[in-house]
Amino acid sequence: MSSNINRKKVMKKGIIRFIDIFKENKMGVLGFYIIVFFLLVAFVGPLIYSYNPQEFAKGGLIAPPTKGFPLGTDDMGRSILGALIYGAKVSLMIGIFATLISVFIGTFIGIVSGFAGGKFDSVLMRITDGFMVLPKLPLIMILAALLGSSTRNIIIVLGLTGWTGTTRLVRSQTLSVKQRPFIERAVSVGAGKGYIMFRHILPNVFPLVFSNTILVAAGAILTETTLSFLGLGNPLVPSWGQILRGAFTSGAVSIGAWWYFVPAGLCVILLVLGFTLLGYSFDEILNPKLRRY
Amino acid sequence: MKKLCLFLALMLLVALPMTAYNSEKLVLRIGIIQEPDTTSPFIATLAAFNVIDVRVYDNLIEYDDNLHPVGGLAEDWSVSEDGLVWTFNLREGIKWSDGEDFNADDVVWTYTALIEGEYPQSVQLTGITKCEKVDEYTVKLYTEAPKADMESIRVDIVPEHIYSNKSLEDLHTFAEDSPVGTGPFKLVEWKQGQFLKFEANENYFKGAPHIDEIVYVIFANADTLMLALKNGEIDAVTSIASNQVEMLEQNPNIEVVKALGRNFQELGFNCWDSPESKGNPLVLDPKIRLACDYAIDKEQIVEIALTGLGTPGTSLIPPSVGDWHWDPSDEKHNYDPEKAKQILEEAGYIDTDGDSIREDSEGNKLDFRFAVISSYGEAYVKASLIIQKNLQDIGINTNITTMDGGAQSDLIYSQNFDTDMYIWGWSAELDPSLKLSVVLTEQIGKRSDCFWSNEDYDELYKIQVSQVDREERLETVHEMQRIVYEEAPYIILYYPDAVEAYRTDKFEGWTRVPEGIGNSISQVNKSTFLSIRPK
Amino acid sequence: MNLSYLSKKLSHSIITLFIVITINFFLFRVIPGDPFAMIAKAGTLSAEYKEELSTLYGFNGSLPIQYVKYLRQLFTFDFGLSFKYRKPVLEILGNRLMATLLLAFFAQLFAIILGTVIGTLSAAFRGKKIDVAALGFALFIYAIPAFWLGIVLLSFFSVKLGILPLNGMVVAGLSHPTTWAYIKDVVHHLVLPVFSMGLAICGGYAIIMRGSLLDVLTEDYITTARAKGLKRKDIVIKHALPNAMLPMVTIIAINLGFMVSGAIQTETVFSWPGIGRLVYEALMARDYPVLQGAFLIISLTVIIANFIADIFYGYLDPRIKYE
Repeated sequence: MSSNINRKKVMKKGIIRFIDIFKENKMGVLGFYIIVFFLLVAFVGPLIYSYNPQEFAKGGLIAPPTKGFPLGTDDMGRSILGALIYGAKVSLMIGIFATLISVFIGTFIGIVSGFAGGKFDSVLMRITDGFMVLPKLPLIMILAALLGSSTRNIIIVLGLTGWTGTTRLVRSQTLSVKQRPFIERAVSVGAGKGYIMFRHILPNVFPLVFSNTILVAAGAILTETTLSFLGLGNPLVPSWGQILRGAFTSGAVSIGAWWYFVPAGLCVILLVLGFTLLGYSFDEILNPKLRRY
Repeated sequence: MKKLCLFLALMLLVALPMTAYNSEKLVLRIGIIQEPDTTSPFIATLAAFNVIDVRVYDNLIEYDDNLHPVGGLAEDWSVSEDGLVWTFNLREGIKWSDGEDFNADDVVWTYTALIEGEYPQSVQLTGITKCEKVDEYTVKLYTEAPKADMESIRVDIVPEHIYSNKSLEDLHTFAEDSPVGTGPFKLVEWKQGQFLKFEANENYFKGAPHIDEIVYVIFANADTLMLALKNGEIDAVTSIASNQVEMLEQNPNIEVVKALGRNFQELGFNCWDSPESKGNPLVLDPKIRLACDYAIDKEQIVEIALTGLGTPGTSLIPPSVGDWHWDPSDEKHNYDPEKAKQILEEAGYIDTDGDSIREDSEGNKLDFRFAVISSYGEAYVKASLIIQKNLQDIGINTNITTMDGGAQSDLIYSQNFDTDMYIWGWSAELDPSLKLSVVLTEQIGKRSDCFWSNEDYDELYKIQVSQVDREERLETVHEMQRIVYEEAPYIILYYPDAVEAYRTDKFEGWTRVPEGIGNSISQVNKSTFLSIRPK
Repeated sequence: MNLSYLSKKLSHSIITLFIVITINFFLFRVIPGDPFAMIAKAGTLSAEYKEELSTLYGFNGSLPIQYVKYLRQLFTFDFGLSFKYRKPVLEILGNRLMATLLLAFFAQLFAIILGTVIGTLSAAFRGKKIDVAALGFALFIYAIPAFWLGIVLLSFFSVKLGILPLNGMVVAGLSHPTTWAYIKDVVHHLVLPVFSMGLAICGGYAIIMRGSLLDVLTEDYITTARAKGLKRKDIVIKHALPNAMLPMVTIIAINLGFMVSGAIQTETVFSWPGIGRLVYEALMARDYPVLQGAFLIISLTVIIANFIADIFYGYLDPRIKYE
């Protein structure tokens, strides 16, 4: 159908234009580079610097940086630099997968609720409110403690608790898209509800979802780090949060072992910053009111 | 902007240091992380309860600084010819902290409640059938069989005039805010999460303490606990993170006390020989467990998981408890991976398919599930990682799942023991009976967490419980430990040291119990607290 | 004030509360495991004792019956007994809640003021160096985990400089001679935790403030004001800011949930005896009644705060006021 071909052309044009604008946005570009940097560290790093979490006490316990250990050792005598590199992948993976789950749930509920309207919408929104009002970290803590702290469970728990913000956002966007004439036309022509939601509403909601996703990812990474710090993460897998936990429980602060708690913290800050910069830059570009043009 | 500056200025003003201490009173400040759960001896299950009960209550018989029984509330005692009737002569003139007189009624009430009901301290009274008042200051205890550990049990005596109208059910929830006791200190204030404050009892029957108050300050983490000790905000701590020891030892005003701990941590196996068990049946083979004992590098575990503050483990009763501990000497299972492999080979476990995991003759792999508690601190997890590697090296594969204590308890007791190996720990009493009982057949599903069953062992236990002759009892107890060592339902990993620290610039009179080698603060008697005085 | 708006918001709050109560109830019944497993390890539990405990804590009977019983208890403010302390949950929560509210209130205040200032500066001088610095600072702060910030501040102010206390709400065990001395002691201990938690939260506020203000600054009436020749400072503070504050109010209310997470971290680092730390301890001890109670209280606080925010919003937003 010609409208399909047109559609693809329009989308392509839109994407190219977006990238052009994006390149001008210094904040976004910086964020982008930061994320790329960590992706490289996570996937290329292990090929360059080898780290075996089973090699204990190679360099003394909580030892300061020396020749073989550029960032010192942790409380089991393993290289902290190694843990940072290998931990990058873990932190990224948990953050991204948890986010995907959250955003999927949030978008789904948001669109369905917004589109359906009426009593159904009311009920769903009250339930969403209920979840939003529940103290998030304690809820996550409890679920993590009780279901067990495997990496998979953490992803699920983070995913199942992070959707409320997305839902509200998508729903309000759906409400405004719903008013637009082409939706009315589609309904009058007899298009099915699912078709409308998927083919018409979703693409219009998508840009907002996209920038929101990135911000949710930033939050997920922060939350995972906090969870691990509180001792509810998976201690068998090196993540940045685990490194910080090791620093905290071994009293690194009081003995001045800065190499134990500073680098890991900075990594978390930097990565989250990267996502946040990227997310807000998208927000700036896509939100017409924030743009200067 | 101006408002902001004002706000900041206000904050800075307030940040000026305060005079922290009330200089007229002599206050001993001790830092702790774990606070007690309650004030009642009928409810308390946490070890931290000793913060309260050693200060506030007394027992009939106490320990002296060399762990020998001496009279507490009882002046002296004797036992009948047949060993079934104990007579205690109580001290006269002791007063409760609310002024009432202490006498036999209190002892009778306390013991009777513990015998008839089910409370944490009741387990020490197994075998005692009745407690009877003879006169104001004499009581008799009747037992079914001679009770070898009668002089070692510690039962807090509570005031009958406060408890008499409480039913056995009430005792599960009744707890005084400021418990009335005979002890050297009174608990006067407890702000949960913050501190416990004790005041000295001038009329204590063994002499008034030389300080006015004790404050136990509760900290949320080891770091701030340590820092507070360093800068003098507190005078002592009951435990320190192992890697802080070195830094503290270098401080001229701080004394670090390393005592042999009375705990042990073990690698436990699912020894439940029953169709209901969800454990891997291969673990039931004692040869596999024995091989594990040779394969595990306990020295390295102590080095890394305890930063060297401990002793590699051998038998069930820790050495700190005295000669009850059996030293395997030339029968010791040293760290010998080659020997471990040999044992497995001879037992028929060979790796036939080259995946570095051994199988038995039917092709079942030595692939076990390993439950590890991650909420008790880091030592368990670190030990498990080392064990995993050690076992990997001899061809046994383990899959670690971390969980909290409640989840592991659940796994074993409520889910048909749905795991193969786990790490747990016990703290040992000065009398070996209770610890020996944890691997009895009759304790399966109760105190036993490995569900092991050995008839010879059970027999020997029944014998030692009534062996009043110490020499004979030592032999029996040693033989029992030998059986456990060879069959290995538990592999004792290590005995962690109890490490405490205190400042030497404000107070003196810190003792050690047992003399010279034991604890200075968490003692089995009130030694330090009665001798401590300002410098 | 618009009555229909008020009643609508009130009914929403009540329904939300009810949903929270229900979720709360099921959360702790549906999780795997024997609730008394923790107590079991410490001693031996006979079947009768377990029965007794079940009755004591409301765990027997079918699920619907337990639910009804639970609701009835709530109406009489009976939150049950703590597993660990064997004291009424409400009593335990009460003490700790005050401590957290104290910390959270001042931290929020600090965060709102700081966030507003930074966000305003950033939006008003958009594109200039101030904007970059302010926005950069806000984003950086936003990315810092609250506990990490706490540790860094603690090691600097308490350890290195030694001017602020290390832990607790007051000097432990000290009998304060006067109420004023007590207040001074608390404030002295509040400084660092408030600063730490406030800083951690303000990043988000600054960013929202900036966005909201930018939104407003592109409106027509602002352009008109500019054309009229009003000074930039006047425009921003007198015309734009009041309107930009509106979304902030809603965000602040929603953020209360996050505040709890911040509180847990801050309280753990500074040994502050609040409800956040209590949740953590109760979790480790598997003290379900306390967890359940804490959950409920925290959610209730958030619902109430949201409701108050809604009232404020209804009062400030002329669109609703004059409906």
